Amino acid sequence: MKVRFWGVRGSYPVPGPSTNRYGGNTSCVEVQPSTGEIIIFDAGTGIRKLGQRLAAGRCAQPSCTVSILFSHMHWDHVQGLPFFSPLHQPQNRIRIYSSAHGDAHLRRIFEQTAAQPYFPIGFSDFKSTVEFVNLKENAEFDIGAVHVRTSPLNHPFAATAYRCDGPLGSVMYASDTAPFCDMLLGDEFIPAPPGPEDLTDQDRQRLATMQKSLVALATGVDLLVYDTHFTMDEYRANPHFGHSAPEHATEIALKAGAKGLCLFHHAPNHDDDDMDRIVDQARKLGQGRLRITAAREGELVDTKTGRATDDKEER
Amino acid sequence: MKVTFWGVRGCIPAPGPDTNRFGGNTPCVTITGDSGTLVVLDAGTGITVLGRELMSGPFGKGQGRATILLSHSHWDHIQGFPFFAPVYVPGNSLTIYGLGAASSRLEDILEGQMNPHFSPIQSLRNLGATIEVHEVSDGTRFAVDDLQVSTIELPHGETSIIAFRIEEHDTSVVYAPDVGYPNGQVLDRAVAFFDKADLLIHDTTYSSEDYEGRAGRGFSSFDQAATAAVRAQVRSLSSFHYDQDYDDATVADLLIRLRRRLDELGGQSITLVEAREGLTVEP
Ligand SMILES: [Zn+2]
Ligand SMILES: [Zn+2]
Ligand SMILES: [Zn+2]
Repeated sequence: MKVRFWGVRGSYPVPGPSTNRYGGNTSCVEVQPSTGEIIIFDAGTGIRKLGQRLAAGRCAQPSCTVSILFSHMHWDHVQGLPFFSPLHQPQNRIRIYSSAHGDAHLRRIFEQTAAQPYFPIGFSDFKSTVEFVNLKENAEFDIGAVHVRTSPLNHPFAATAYRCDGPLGSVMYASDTAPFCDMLLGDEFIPAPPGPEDLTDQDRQRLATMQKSLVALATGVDLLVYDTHFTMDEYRANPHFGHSAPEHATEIALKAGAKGLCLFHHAPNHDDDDMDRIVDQARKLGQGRLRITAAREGELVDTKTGRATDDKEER
Repeated sequence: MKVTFWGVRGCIPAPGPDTNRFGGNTPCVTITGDSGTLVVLDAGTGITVLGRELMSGPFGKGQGRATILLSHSHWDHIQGFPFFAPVYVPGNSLTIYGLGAASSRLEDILEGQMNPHFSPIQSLRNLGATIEVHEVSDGTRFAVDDLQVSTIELPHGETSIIAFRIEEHDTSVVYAPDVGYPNGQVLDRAVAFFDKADLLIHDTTYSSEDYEGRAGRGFSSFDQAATAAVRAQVRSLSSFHYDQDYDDATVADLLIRLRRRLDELGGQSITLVEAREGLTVEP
């Protein structure tokens, strides 16, 4: 199994020379199982170029199904969707998997991302067939020969982690999430980092359950792609923003016996040189038991080895 | 008066090595008046770069004041706002002018972007800065300190945009992104609004070839911008809002053709400003 990173950035896209090496597009990862299914994690701005490639290639076939698995609906994970060319081809079936918040209606939320007064065209203008699958917590389902399981994440308004197992390997996508120690994020806006007051027992319980479920899902996975938006210092200043540092990701990966950890959702203020330093430092956290890399836009990574193949996508 | 380009790309940010020269951020331009008044035109992702720079001055201390003029509320013109660092600093004051929609007030439109499904900030009210929103329509006039601002409503596909004309002493700048003329014919009333501007920043989303077949989308071609500039006898014309799929080589080529087109139309005296991120001009 392989994955190609089309967007690795968190919060908002960061064009410019200082992000040329790691990439400036927001979250989008393509899963390439050996069995041919088209599976995509999130639709940040990176999905635009993936869409162009699919539209000219596999989606140009008489019928084609694309499954997009959404971690959540924050802008950096949905803003590229209307620019995804296969949406505009009548022969395609686009299946949107996501977990609607509370009793919200999934299609209706997505429709708000492409509608006036924010966008010139809407879902009714998309020529493909668009289907919505509203996932429950800890859902389990198949996409062709790929088995998919989910687990909830600690993020404002909630997010979902996905694990895909195919005949030739496995990958798990855990973006966006805060760690499970300091703070339980829910529906409320938290204006400032919390004070020294402790979590309630109930919060602690829920965080422990969430972490246990995530570790169970990551058990033995070949490649764990994980939100490491912050460095540890940045995290301490912003524990209420719903993102982790490499230290938190490593803890989960080691607990789960993951074979590889891939840092993801790079903060917009981390330029290429910062990223080099962050990965260098993070590597030491693996204690020789864990391969640690950082996602780079355009790279095709073999989940078994964690290495990029030579086939770097032209950007 | 100084004009600086922070984002010149249309529709969606286009990061990557092949947009380094002109830039991949969505629209944001600033006008700085002679006495330091700051007017920001649109809040695409370019405004995030501006925000980082402003934080080293009064905005970092909660003593900043700026006016933001929004041409319209399509994503690429407002998507940078939640990431404009000065909005998080209490004490800063931002006054926003823009177009409402038939269905909703401008303030509700901006609030909609912060909806908790889509943004962890959840509401404009959670931003630290004081934000005041004013709606404008065709022919609105107002002043921002020494700067005089006037507006015109122009067609943009099935909706419209507000173009702004900003004047200080004898200098005038017109900002007209995302204009799409019916049948591709530059409107007389647009020409009158652009009249003799020192700098006309005009939509140039498409090459003439790509414009064919995309005419209904509500943008201009490079050639149409040249026609508007020549007819309005402006002093300089700036290209703007490049299509997301045009790499640097393509844009550079389109700019050579734009210069040629201006000359053909009798606009030899018009200076061509090749909009790119980071460029500052004094009109
Ligand atoms: Zn995110
Ligand atoms: Zn998020
Ligand atoms: Zn636009």
